Amino acid sequence: MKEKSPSAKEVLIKGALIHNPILIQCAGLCPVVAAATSLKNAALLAAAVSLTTIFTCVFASALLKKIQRWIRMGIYLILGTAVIFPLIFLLESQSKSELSLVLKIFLPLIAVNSATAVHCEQFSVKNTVKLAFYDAVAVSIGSSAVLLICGAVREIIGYSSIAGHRLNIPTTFRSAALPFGCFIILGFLAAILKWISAYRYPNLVADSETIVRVKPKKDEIKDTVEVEVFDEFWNEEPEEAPLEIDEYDEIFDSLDNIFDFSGEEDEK
Amino acid sequence: MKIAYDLLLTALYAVFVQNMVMSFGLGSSEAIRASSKPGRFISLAAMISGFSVATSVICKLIDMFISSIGFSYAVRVAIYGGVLAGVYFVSAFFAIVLFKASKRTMGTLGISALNTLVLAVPFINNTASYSFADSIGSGIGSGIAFVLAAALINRGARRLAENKDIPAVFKGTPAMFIYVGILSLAFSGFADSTLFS
Amino acid sequence: MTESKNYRSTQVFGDYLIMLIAPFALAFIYYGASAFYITAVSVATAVICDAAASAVLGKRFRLKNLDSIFTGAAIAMMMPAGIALYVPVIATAFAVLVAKAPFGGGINAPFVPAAAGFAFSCVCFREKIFDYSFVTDAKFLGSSSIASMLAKGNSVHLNSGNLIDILCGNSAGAMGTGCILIMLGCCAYLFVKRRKALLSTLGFVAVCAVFAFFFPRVNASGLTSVILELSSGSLMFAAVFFMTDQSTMPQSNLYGVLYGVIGGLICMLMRLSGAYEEPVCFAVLLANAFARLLEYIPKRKAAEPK
Repeated sequence: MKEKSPSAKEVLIKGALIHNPILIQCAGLCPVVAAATSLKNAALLAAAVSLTTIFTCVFASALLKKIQRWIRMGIYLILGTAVIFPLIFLLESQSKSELSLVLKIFLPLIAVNSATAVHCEQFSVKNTVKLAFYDAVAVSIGSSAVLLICGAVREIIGYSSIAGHRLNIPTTFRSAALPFGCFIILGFLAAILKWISAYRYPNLVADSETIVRVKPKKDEIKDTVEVEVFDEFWNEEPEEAPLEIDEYDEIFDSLDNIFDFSGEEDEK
Repeated sequence: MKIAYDLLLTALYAVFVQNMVMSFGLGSSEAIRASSKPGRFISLAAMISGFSVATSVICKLIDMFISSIGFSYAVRVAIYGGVLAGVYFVSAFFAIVLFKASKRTMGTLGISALNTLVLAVPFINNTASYSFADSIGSGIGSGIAFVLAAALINRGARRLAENKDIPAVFKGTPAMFIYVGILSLAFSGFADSTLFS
Repeated sequence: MTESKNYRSTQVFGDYLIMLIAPFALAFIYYGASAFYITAVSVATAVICDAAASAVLGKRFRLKNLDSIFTGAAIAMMMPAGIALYVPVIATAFAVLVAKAPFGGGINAPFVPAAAGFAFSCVCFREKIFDYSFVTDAKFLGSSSIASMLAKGNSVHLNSGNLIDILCGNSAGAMGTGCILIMLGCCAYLFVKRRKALLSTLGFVAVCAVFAFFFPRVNASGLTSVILELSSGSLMFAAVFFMTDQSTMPQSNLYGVLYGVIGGLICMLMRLSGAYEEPVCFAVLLANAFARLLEYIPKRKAAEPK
């Protein structure tokens, strides 16, 4: 399948900002929501996410294009673990005390970070190594920025400190450190990002925006809509008219979504 | 009987009291992304539970076998990741060769395996020192918890889509995040503190 | 927002505000000026936050929608009388800015904003929010509330004297939510105005009562347990003011009752699990989400036979 190659700048802006992996694509939420409760944790997680994403995406683009999709999925998992293993080994040998719970549970989970898998499937295996590298860098920048902002905000309002230094804030919100607090912070960050991208890059946003699509169902009187939340990230297929319920199953396969088979295997 | 009781209790705990997705944010991105596919909920629940149970049981066995050897935590990370990859490859292979699984089923299998929730279960079992029955219970619970969360998010997304008065900047993911946030807040009424904070 | 929605918002929240007059009057009688201050600060915060959010989002602010005033007043009623003023301010700000504004106003909110605000303050300030030691002189049970007593597994022997105290809300607790008699009065008003909404209240209270009867948390008779559970905390208040919220409750009668049943069941389970002394607002939020799930099941079944 041929497709026009986007420029490096476009890839970077789209990957990091307009299609921010966390805020707009809802991928790789777990480390942010569960573990980025302080700036230090967030920095560590950002480093791990960046390393895993860049390594896996470049590897996928260079070597995995010809391999069947289901095998690729398993390879991403192995590659992720291969990056995380030395990182934890290094941290373990550096620290004198036992690793914190965040490091013990949530750092290993970056091996199965969905942002990595999404970009490997949607971009890396369809593009050149160079573009895949740019895309991975963009994703890393986008994820890291969100991780660091969330980590800093949660540390300030949750513990009244920043990077371990105490601040004199009269009241702290314990809830900021809980997952629900982070979801709400993410909601507002996403709204700000949407506003910035619509203001700064209106032409890029217009042609490909994350949407909540409302699709008519067959029994229109009782129930008129079915919601489809997905990202039209580098969508190859043109925008289609709303589909009938009989085609409901086919939608899953035709959607440009990481978890659906499309492209090369559909052609066979 | 005691084992069955432990299993059920841990499963219920993982679904309601500390819903793994809502209270810990584990697998939350997959839950939000999969929420738009209600037709797959049952197979997702079964596969996630299956992967979690298989992974946690094998990891538990390995833990028991090598617990006497004092090895680095990083090795444990590698083992757990490797076990999940192994379980995925074996089940995918059988699905294709024996059951001639459709592309859609293989896609669902992929979401289920490449999911922070599934890999988290053995780590949680290890950290919380769960027994064998507890490990199976938390594995089964994780699948149900995932689908409960996905179903709730699906309904929320639908409601948000029907709502024409949402301000333009909040349309789409921002409103969705806030919805999930308040849902997660509601789950915290069952248990105040989380295991990991 | 369309004109009809604005009109409906004024009507619905206007009714709630009329119903809130009685709890407010009771709070004023029991706690004097501090009840007034807390309510005023809370309502003012709600209105200011709503106006600010409207300005930022480029929408026209309509005070006449009354939803923000109701949110502020309802949160104030659930606060203890001696609370530091910043707690209701933060709870109300959360309710308006997070649970209401992003969804386009109170009539569109997927969760009851006041319940979300109170639940948020429970998580952030749990010691302050359940500290009822402000005015305890004439109170039944002194500074310990019925809810905290139930949570500890203690019971009281009911007699005609303390029963009146309990029914009138003359015990330590939130400012305006303790009096069952007033809540019954509110139900009567709602029956005249919007009786369909009472179905969910009915389901909610019935399940709580049945649950309390069969699974008492205290070593007492079933009836005592029912009376104590229903009169403790803000259970009845939430049942009347939050479970009947028009934007979150299902439209059909059967689903309305089932919505109440789910809310009641979750509330009692949360009380049993004991994370918070009064978890009813969390239960309302979860019921809001589960209610949507409820509408989903039969539809799928109806679509499949073809």
